[in-house]
Amino acid sequence: MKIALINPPVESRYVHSIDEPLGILYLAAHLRDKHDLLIIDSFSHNLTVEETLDICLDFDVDIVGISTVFSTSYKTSKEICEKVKYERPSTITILGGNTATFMAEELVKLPFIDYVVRGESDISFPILVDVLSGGGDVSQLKGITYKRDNQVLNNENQPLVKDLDSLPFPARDLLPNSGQYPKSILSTRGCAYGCIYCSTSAFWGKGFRMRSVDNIIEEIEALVSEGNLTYFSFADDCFTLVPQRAIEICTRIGEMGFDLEWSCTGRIETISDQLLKSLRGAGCKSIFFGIESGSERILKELNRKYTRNEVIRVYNLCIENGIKPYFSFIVGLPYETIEDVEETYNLINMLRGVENGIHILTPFPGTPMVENSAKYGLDILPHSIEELDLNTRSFIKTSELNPEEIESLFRKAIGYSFKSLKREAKEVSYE
Amino acid sequence: MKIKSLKAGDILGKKPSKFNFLIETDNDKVIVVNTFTGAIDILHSDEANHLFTDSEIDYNSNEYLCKRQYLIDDDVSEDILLEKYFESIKNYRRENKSLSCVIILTFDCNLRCTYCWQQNNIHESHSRTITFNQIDKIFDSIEKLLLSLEHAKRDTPIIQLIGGEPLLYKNRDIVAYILKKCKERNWYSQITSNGSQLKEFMDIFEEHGVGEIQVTIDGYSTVHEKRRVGSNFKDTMDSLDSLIQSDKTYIKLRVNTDVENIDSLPYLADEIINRRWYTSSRFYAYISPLRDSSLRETKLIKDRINLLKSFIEKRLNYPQLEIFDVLGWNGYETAKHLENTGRMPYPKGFICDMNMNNFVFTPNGEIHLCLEEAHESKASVGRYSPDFYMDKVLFDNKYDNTPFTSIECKDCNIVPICSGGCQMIDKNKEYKKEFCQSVKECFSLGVENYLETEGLI
Repeated sequence: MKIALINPPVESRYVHSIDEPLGILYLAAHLRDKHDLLIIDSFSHNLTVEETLDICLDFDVDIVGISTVFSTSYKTSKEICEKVKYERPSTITILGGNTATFMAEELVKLPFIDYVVRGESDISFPILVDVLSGGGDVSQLKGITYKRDNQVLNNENQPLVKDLDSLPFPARDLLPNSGQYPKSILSTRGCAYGCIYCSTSAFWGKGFRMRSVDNIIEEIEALVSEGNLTYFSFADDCFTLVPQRAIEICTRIGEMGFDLEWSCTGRIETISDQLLKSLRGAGCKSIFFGIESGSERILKELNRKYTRNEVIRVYNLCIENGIKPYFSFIVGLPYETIEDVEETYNLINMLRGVENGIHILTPFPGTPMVENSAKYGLDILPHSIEELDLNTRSFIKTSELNPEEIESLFRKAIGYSFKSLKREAKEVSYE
Repeated sequence: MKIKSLKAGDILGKKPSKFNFLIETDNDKVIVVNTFTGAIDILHSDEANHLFTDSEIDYNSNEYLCKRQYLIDDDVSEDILLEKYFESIKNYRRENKSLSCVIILTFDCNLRCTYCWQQNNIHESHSRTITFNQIDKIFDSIEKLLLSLEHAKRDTPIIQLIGGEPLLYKNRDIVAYILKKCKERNWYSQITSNGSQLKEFMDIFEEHGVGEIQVTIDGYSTVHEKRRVGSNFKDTMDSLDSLIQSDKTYIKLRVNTDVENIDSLPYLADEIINRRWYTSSRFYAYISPLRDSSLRETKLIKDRINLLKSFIEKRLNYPQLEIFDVLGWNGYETAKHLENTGRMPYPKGFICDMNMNNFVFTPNGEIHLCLEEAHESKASVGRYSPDFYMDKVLFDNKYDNTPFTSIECKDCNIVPICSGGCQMIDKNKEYKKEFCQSVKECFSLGVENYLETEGLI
């Protein structure tokens, strides 16, 4: 069958970095031997819905598979399906990814969306395609939502892939203009923390699965052998979660003898001087940390295992070791008062010369705070999925702050973030 | 805050550096800055007095002042040192500066801004638009300039379109023609516009590309439209939004600031944040004090320090104002560097465009070195039409006119940080006096603010 795998466009876009659409590249690796594939990365190439549709139609597509990970592409994903069905009614439309997973029933109710593959789809999507191409019955397939006789049916969940090493490497060679993309590697799937604002645990399932170090090194070697690999990132939710494993990966990257530069994600409580030295020695240039708040009280409410002083300690260590840290904060967290947000401002002021990303607490589908909003004292106001964006509006009334107050505090935090970034990085003394 | 002028005094074979600049604070402390070496210290008043008089201080303090070069050997000529330094960086800076070619498409403008010095004497009397033939000749002239200048960056020149207002509907064809020529040569193009007719040019930008557009606004919606008679704030912002999202053009938003619109800045900052422009790496916003380029009135220059004070105070309550860079407050630039890095910057040497491979082409066929005087034929240094010609004497007089050719600058203790201002200001001594005072005040305010913020005073 002719299958178009699409990374959909977004309606408005101000940040224009490009990232490999790993989700569909993994699926393409499963499907490549049996089907005629076309990968369309509309997001990275700024294609419109119409341009995406034209490419699909020119390809004479049988199945459109869209990776609807973000709420910002929820509307465009639907539009592509609607238009492709209109132009070519026989086309089968399938959505997957975080947002599609948690909006599966609503999506499948739409006449132009045939299936949603929920959660990890490395197993379920290829099986679904096989069954569809053979004209078989999907009722026994796991992990899919579909409609029959005007009824939406949710089949039982697909069990997760137990052995991540058994997965083929992403089919990067099928991605048009692949050479232009900075490379991303997933060394783990899932997250051990279950943060209230994040749908990762609900999507990937509880628990944290790791690829073997050998398997990761093999992928890096493959990328190097394909030529011109100078920079890549570990796109894990938390690369440093098991510090000893991270050190082992660093040692092995160092032993490869290539002049590689890369970035990763980290968690404050996992960071030591020894780990940073290993990371730096292996070419790590930057680490992203989700800090969320500068208030000790709020950090405790979030079950964080670090204090603001430990954030400063890690900042100092990163500066000392020549690794650029990136920090991220959220405004409008449960129980957060104006005074708590001011503590966040205060911390941002200390983290000079680095990017401090600021976001508004946003009720993304599938997150614990949406599933159990009362538990966190949150009143989630009416909104559409398309409206959800980390950097614009608040749709939450917390026990302490209303949306207008949250938005106002957010704008101030943006100001502090700018101020901090203008300053030169330097070690900070703390109590 | 008081600023002291320094008197040289002979102390133990030492003399105070002529570049010592003192700022008295409210708490019996004096901030001393050596504007040439970049040293900064907070002294007790008796130590500071030692720099003015022969008053006794203890040995250690004296040693310290020598070590920090606030006191220097009697036989050292700082004038020569500074001149040598300036000379050493002059050609280096020129060699690292791309040729900047400003094309004035027309002096005509569709707006009649209430404060614009060009309003009645220039817009109407110089309303002709440059022709296609003239554009060809300008591009030929630029090629010749690139070859003839001894010290200039040999990469692609920067072509800047300016007015009046360059983006008038009637100029669509000529703008498209220029951008096409830039694209063919891979030359960088910039447009400075009031933004009012941006949307009429989107197709041209899409087809030919434009490297950078700077739009100048006057604050948030109401005050902007009141001052920019005939403008529509939302239209301008929506057009900018499209350009920022297209990610093909670097957008600079300049906000003319004065006492009338400073209160609207937090609303403007909110608008920029709400529109998410701040997340784009191709967007940059700054505020700049409104200035009277005709140099007729000194009011605006006198008000600069109060405007800066007001902005800094406002920024404490509205931290979102940090999204604006602060440019154009001469003197504060140096303090800003100190604030951001904890160090004084190296002296720049000179800041006047006329010294820096900057050429302005007018609709009358003239070549100037400064935009501000481009409407005065007698200020031209050559012609590009009917034939290319540069008057070497006129050119050299402006090109090599540095702070050392001005008596006031030569003896000034802040010339290393001010770099002499611009040559236009040098022509009007009364205005220059106020300008120099403003530079000192803005620098002092910035330094004091920095030390206070860091808890050092």
